[in-house]
Amino acid sequence: MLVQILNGLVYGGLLYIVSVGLVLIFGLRRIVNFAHGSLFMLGAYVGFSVAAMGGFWGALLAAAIVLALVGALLDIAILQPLQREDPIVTVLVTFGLLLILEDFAQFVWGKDFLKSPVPTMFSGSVLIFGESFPVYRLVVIAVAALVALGLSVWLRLSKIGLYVRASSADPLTTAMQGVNTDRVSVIVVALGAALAGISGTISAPLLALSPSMGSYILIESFIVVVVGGLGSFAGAFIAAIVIGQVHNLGLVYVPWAATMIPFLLMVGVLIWRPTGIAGSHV
Amino acid sequence: MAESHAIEGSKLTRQFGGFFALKGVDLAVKRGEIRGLIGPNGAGKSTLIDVLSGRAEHRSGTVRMFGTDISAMTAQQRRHAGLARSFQRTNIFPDLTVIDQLDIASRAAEMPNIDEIMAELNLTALAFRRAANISYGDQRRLDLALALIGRPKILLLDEPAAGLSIGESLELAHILKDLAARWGVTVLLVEHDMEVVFSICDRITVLHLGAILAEGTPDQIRGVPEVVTAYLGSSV
Repeated sequence: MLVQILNGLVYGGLLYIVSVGLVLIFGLRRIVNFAHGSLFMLGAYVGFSVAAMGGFWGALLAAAIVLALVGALLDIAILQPLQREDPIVTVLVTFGLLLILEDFAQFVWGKDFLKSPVPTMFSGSVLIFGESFPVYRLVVIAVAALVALGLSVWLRLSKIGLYVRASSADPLTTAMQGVNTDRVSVIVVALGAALAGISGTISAPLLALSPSMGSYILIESFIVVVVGGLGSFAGAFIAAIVIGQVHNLGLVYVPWAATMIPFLLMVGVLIWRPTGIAGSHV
Repeated sequence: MAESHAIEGSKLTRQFGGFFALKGVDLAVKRGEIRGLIGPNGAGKSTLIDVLSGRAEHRSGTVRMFGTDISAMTAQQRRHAGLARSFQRTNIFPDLTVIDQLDIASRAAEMPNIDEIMAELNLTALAFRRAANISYGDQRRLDLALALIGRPKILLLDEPAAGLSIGESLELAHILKDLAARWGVTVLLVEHDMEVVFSICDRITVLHLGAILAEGTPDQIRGVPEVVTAYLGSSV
């Protein structure tokens, strides 16, 4: 049971890092970024390619930097020019981008599944209350916890964090207070994409890499964002941990219903609290 | 050469589908003037404030600030140029503290005067309280404080006294008139509380169905039969 709970934390941690990027982008732009799953996928492939030469930390850094640049480009070239359009236009464009990036990954890395090895420094297992658990999975939990802590401190204590929180509540009014929300948006989308890239890289040794790997986690990330409360960072954290547990325990105890459970949870939460766990709180 | 007005809208038109919220409105407010903008619900008052502040785009017409055409400026650029506004609704950033909100508004200010504004509006003791946890009257004063940060040249206020008691409304009106006089701020005030409007405004513009029905001093407006019939009744 302990191992299953820890595995749930691993998956919940990965989901959190991906979905918090979606939350950041939704909060500021009020759009659902369908390309976010493909940013996760690109992060996994970039990490896979760099890890062979630069090791795990080099891969993590490279994925974060490359995806941050992709995110900044996405905001400047697509999201900002479309900000006055109907949100459905942006949704369709980002969905199209998801397909393009999947084809791009297929072109560069091929269709076959790739497997990234566990970094040597984190190989092996440790005993936790008499149960063996892989060190690398503990590292994933630690990275997710660090991301959550770092993001929370950044949002609470930095000027940009203050503008992000204000923009998440009301972007137009924040702009009218004199804040350059376009500049904040570039930072936020780049950060969200970098987090997706980090998540992709650290998940590479746990998952098989394929061009379509982003689609599955995207759907569960959407569930996290909706259950947590659209635009809520704390809500996304709680929802990711809960869904990680539900997902994992479901796979073990009710495998025939495992894929349904997150959706049923979402329906239940929306009936109980239509605005999600955290409501409108940022 | 004639002195330019602080804020001037010419032939402003704003359309929602087939409905014209503004039908070629001309409005010119002199420097240092407190101008009241009144009219029944749906008259186009908030729409006019939205268009002047850059929150909403207009279909035709121009907006000038001290003689300069600012029609193409974004709301943010207008704020930096010294045009500030408040909003009908309060508690826009419920999770942020009072001082954090004033800090954000001070981004547009050359001289951030957070302490001064908090003292003027009795918000100092509430500095570190979340906006969601302060009273409605305090939220109203916070809304005004956000607009006043940096001593703007022009202030557009959208129902700042809405929901306040008679005493609170008159206190707010007194603070507003005092600050406008001391700082030389030009004010365009949308308000339904006629006691507030008639007690502090130099001139009043009456808007009805997206067009100007009348304009003049408070005494002149009291004497316009159409305004009294359509809007004021016997309240003033």
